[in-house]
Amino acid sequence: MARIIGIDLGTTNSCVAVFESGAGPRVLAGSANRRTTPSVVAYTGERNSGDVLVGEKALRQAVTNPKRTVFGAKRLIGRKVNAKDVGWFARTAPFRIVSAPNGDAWVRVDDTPISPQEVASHVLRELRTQAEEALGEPITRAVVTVPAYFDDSQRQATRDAGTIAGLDICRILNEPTAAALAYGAHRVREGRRIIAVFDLGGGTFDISIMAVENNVFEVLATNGDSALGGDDWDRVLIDHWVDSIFDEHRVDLTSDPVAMGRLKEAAEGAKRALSSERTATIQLPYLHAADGPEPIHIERKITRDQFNALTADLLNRLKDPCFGAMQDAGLVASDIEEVLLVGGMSRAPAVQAQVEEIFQQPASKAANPDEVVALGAAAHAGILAGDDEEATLLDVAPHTIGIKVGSTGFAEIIKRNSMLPVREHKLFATNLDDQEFVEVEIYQGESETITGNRKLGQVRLGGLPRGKAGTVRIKLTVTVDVESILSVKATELSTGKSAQVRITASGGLSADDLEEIVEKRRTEAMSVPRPPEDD
Amino acid sequence: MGTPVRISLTLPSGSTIELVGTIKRFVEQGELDGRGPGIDISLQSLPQSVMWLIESALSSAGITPRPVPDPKETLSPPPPPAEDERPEESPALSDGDEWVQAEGDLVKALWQELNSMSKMNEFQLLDLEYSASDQEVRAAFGALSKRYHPDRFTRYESFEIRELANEVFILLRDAYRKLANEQGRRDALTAIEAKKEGSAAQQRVATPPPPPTKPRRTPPPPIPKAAQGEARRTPPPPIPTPPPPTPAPASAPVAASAPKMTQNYASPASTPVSNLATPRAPTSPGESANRVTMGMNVLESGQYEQALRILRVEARKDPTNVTALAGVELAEGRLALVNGDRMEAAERFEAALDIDPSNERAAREIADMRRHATSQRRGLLSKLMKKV
Repeated sequence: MARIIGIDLGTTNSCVAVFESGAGPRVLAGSANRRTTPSVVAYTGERNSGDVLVGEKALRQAVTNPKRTVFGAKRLIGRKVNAKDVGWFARTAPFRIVSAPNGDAWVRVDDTPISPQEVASHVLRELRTQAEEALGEPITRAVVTVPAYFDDSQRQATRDAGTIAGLDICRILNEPTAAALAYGAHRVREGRRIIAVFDLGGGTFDISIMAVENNVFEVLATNGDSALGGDDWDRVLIDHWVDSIFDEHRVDLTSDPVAMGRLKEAAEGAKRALSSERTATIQLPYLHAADGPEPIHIERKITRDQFNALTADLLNRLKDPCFGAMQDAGLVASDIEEVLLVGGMSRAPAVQAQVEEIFQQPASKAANPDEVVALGAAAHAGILAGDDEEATLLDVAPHTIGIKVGSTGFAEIIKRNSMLPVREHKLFATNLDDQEFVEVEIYQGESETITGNRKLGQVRLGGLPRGKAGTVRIKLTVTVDVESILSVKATELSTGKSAQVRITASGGLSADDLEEIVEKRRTEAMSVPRPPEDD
Repeated sequence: MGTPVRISLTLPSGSTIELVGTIKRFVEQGELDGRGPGIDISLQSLPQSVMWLIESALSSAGITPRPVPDPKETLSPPPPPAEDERPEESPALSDGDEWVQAEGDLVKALWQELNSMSKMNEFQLLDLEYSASDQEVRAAFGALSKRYHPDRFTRYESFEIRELANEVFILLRDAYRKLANEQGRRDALTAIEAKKEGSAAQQRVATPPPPPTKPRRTPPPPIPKAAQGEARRTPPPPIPTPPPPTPAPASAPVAASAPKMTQNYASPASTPVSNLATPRAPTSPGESANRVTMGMNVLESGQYEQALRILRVEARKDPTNVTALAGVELAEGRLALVNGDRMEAAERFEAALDIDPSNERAAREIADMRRHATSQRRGLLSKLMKKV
């Protein structure tokens, strides 16, 4: 049986690993023994030539090619351009973020709109090639991780990125679950242990509470914020400096992508330095050279306390998801035996202090925080391929699924944090006399009204028997399988007549779009220039 | 064409199967891959137990059944695909055929497992005692998850296998969710008790015709199979040999003879059993109930022949005593297991469960056999997959 690789497709860095029978998961390093690959894609060469650089190579030329170097595609994938945090990201990103015809957030390089799925697919393809070279065999299947708090369209968009990269994504796995799988697998011991995985990455925040016992990993609850990550800490620093530069020089740097790119790099450096130092200094000579007589040179100093004060709001946003997860799991902080830190941003002392305060205990750091998620993905790939018959993962549905009732009401059917697969039934009645059909609209989210939630699809049941309002009863059955695929069945109880749909979320790209992109890639591979698009 | 036919198949075990159907068409010489001439018969749907019997007969004759029919077909009213009259010699199978067959076998095993599981209560589903602790519930569910979680089935290409595994796991997870804490277990027990009493009361009111008692190795009466919900409720047909005329007093409390949920079945029989084989008639209802309980304890202690004797006597005395009747089937099933006849055993256990749907032992025995069948078939399929 062909191997399945595990991929951690990160906001800033990605990593690929494989499960070896008998030996467990291991990272597949790339050239120069690099174990992680920056999730950066640069469009180079002629306009629309399709020439790209991925990873380290792309990162290296980013400062000189800011408008055509795309990073953070994970922040955009499967999202609408009008989402609040997408707006923030667009403001600081040196490349352009535009709206696709369906409202999705895409990037624009030169004049070509490119979906984040396509950007991500370059990274996935790079990792796939890396794995093929390391293993010496063709690879077509992968388990790819996403933040637990990704919704269905973000998951589907990630799947689509895999399709474009020629990978069959066997499973989309939650990152904190993957981390726990990799971390916990080495520490099997008698009895049941409750661990919390606190995963603060570049762009997302997840908290998962799991029970580990006898190699069974049961997720009890998961929560998070799919728009909170290390980049937000950078953004606060960038905003801080952009404001101070404006105050001092009356220059708005946000319209200067090169300056913004350099500022972002400096902010990242300063943030990292502040993890170990009390103060950090940035020096950016010739940062901006437009209009004015003198080019602007910048030197700024920042202390850890200043930085923490600036980012206090962000630290606060970590609390609610943690308490929410504990509540859903029916646990309190003292029930949790260990808190595992994952993700680059969890290295920050202020974050660790916050974690300690929330869980009332010091947290432990994963030995290899940049690799642990990919290792977990590979471990799960081993389970799926049948190479590991012991470890078992019981994951949950991260979001509530329900239906529209009345004009805007939301009636819960499957509660968030239900173990997958899950099936629930609910009875409903008609609300009109002699109603001929019902149309059940299915939504996902935690809001009490449908306007705050996301529509997944609908099922229509016609030919209802005649009867007074409320007398014709309809049983709704909702099933979610381990792949998060939803099927909905509506049955009229007196006649047994039913209608059924299988709902797969849209990642924003239609089947036709996908086919077109895959075809385009094929043509590009033959170096045929592509005519410019105009939509 | 359309002429009704009836075929009596005598199996090596001595059981006879009645196949009823109509002639669909005449098959010319050389048709159907050279299997003609003959007739193509549309059979009426076969009860599950008959399928088991045929399978058992084929396997004991060393014949591998042809690729399985669609399990939905075998379980739903529409007639299964027409079969030839005589079981044919199976040709040597190529790897591809083997694969198809192994997949089909697994589908069938899962389907049957799902079927028997759907009749079980939460404790039976997780293979737990009614006194199970949190820790035991988790351990049981964990162990079952290792075998039945859909992740363990992703490797199989067959959509049907994966769907069935999904269904099986949903039953297990729902049971786990209910039993995971003490309050949940109490509620579940109360519900099970209520259901039991309800069905016992129903039986008292309805007084159905006496269920069949089956002497070993004689033609079994067609057992109303539980595969289809409706079929299951039909009262069993009259038995070929009428029971001895010792009707129990009309007031014989059936419910009283049903074992209580809280009773510990696992406790070995401490009662001496030497002289119980000889019936002493007439007995009072209370005494009879005691003897049935004793019989069941003897059965539990592993003395199947002994238990069979006791229970048969009680069943003959009171043909409405479902516990005794089911006990007879259970004892027969255990004996069949000892003799290595798994198919016969499964049939007996199914029969026990049909007679007494609340019968603990029967449900557990069946669960055990189904699990065994599934894992065996998975093993075979996995082996084939590794070869490729």
